[in-house]
Amino acid sequence: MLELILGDLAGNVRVWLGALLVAAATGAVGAVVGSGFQTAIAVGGDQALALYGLAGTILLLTVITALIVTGTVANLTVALQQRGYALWQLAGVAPGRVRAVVTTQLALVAVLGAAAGCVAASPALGPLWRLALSDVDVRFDAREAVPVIAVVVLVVTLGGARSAGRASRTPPIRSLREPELPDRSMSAGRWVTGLATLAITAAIVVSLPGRDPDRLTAPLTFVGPLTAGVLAAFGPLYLAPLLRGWTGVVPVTLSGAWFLARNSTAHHIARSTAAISPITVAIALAGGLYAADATVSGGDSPGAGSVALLLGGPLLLSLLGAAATVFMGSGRREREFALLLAAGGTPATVLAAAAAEAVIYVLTAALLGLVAVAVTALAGAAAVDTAPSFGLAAVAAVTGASLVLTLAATVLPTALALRRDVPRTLARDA
Amino acid sequence: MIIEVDRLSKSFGDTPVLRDVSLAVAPGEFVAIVGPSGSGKSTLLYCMSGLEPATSGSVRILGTPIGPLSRSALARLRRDHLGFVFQSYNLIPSLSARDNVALPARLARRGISAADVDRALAEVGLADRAAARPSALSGGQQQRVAIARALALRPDVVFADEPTGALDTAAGVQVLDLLGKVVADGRSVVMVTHDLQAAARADRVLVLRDGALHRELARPTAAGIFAAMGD
Repeated sequence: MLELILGDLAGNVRVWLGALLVAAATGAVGAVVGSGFQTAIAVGGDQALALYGLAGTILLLTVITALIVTGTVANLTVALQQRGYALWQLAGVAPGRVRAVVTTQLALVAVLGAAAGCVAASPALGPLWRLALSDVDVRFDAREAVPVIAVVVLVVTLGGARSAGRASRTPPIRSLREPELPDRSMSAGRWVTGLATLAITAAIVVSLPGRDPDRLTAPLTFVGPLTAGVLAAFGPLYLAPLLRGWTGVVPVTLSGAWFLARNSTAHHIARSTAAISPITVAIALAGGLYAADATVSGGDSPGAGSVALLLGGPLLLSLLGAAATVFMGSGRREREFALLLAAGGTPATVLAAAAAEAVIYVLTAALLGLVAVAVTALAGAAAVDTAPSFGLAAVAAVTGASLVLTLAATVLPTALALRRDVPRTLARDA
Repeated sequence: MIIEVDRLSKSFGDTPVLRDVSLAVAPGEFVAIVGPSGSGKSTLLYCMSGLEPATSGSVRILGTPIGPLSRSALARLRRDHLGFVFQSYNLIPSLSARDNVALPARLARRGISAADVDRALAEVGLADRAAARPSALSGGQQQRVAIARALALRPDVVFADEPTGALDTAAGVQVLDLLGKVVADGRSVVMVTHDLQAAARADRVLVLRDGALHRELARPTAAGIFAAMGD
């Protein structure tokens, strides 16, 4: 069994590397939260109160982000390897054992990634906390890293549970015929998560009117990412039609590259969801914070230091998650690129199609992110009876950064893939 | 001649795969390439079609030497004059059968009407499966869609690499019948196969052994090809 687990990890390095990277980022952000609480316990007094407040806010933002980003990446990690798991079953591995192995692989990668993230984040923890509390003596040791790693393992294995179950349940022949099965159904878990998140969001929005304006920004800041969570949970209901709908604005006769990208993003919906959700969260986080602050305070912007402390980790996780998922899925595209070249597509067409996919991911995420930001601004405006401010500069900045990262994550692997011979790529096992 | 190959050699690292192969393919000719595993059949097909660069020697397609062409120029040449059918994994999974057939025209920015695409699918007996994605088609159906795609733009030559290799006998016969129709229309087919019955349907059979052209047979029987391979 150990050979199977390790052999599979080695054989799908690109996919697992992406999962490892996101687990590491989650661990690093978790270390920021963990260090905040550990330091608060150690220092006591007023500093502790401030630390508890900040760490609690970062914890909530991180949990929302991690559940969406890390969970989606874990799901994609398994979905991309459906064919391999089908071959295991054909070789005689029982379905229950497939599920156990997949879950073990996810847990293994989560432990390694989270531990590496904690170690990597350690030198940055002091300077980061001192952005808010200039003389604080930050603590973070192995004892505090254990719960961080445990939470990352939990999020990753829960995120991959649905795909792991499907890997064991789906008839192997179906998986071999269509290696990346479309995930268009709403599971019971998604309904529960989506409705619960919607209820929490609604409860926060309803509780806002009548509050002291000075105490309004904090709860309002959560509305954006929570709305993004609701949108992510109900994604299977609307994402494919949304993609097909808005990308249809460009006539298919205008660009072959756009036509290919449009069909690919709507068909490979698991991959698209994994790329779009983290960017949506990133836009909702930054746009939501600025919209909340500007709406409630009448145009003032939050300071760069507090933004970096509150949103730095979750934003890093979101953007890294988006880039990692696009990179993870690129290996499966090489055969398609080879076919396009054989069918008369030029390398430029293939690169343009990859770039168009990145644009589709980011603009779809921007549409969804704007919904989350709009909900935040309108809820804040209704609460204080003023005009809404939408934090569009922050939305534009995060959208731009996401576009650069996603373009790099799609175009660079595509350019490398184009250097490979068409015959050998087509002859290779899928 | 549509294709002219002159003293073509190909090596992968220090391992020679093709040695001094020379041949030509005439318009409207059906040429089959056979030989034992590792004899260089597929490599020859890919070098002839510009998908694999030659180590030495030359290949001309419609009089144009392909060696000096850039990747983009080669892509345009393929798009305008050549069609391909591979053993499997021929179709883009995210596109319907109809969109797969229309793909080369779309890439070439050439107009192809829905009626032309439907006609191409009807010719391969799949008019009722136009909206299906590859995962919903059998191996034989996928191969027929690939042939419809290869034919939609009426290329001068269709290159087929083991087109029946992953099919049962009945589906294989259908595919060979379709390739036969291509030749009847005045276009050429170059097919690599290990199936001697399939090869026997060609006008000419080239027997490759150890990367060199071992025998050339005109309208042979399967038994004749078998005997030539064992010479």
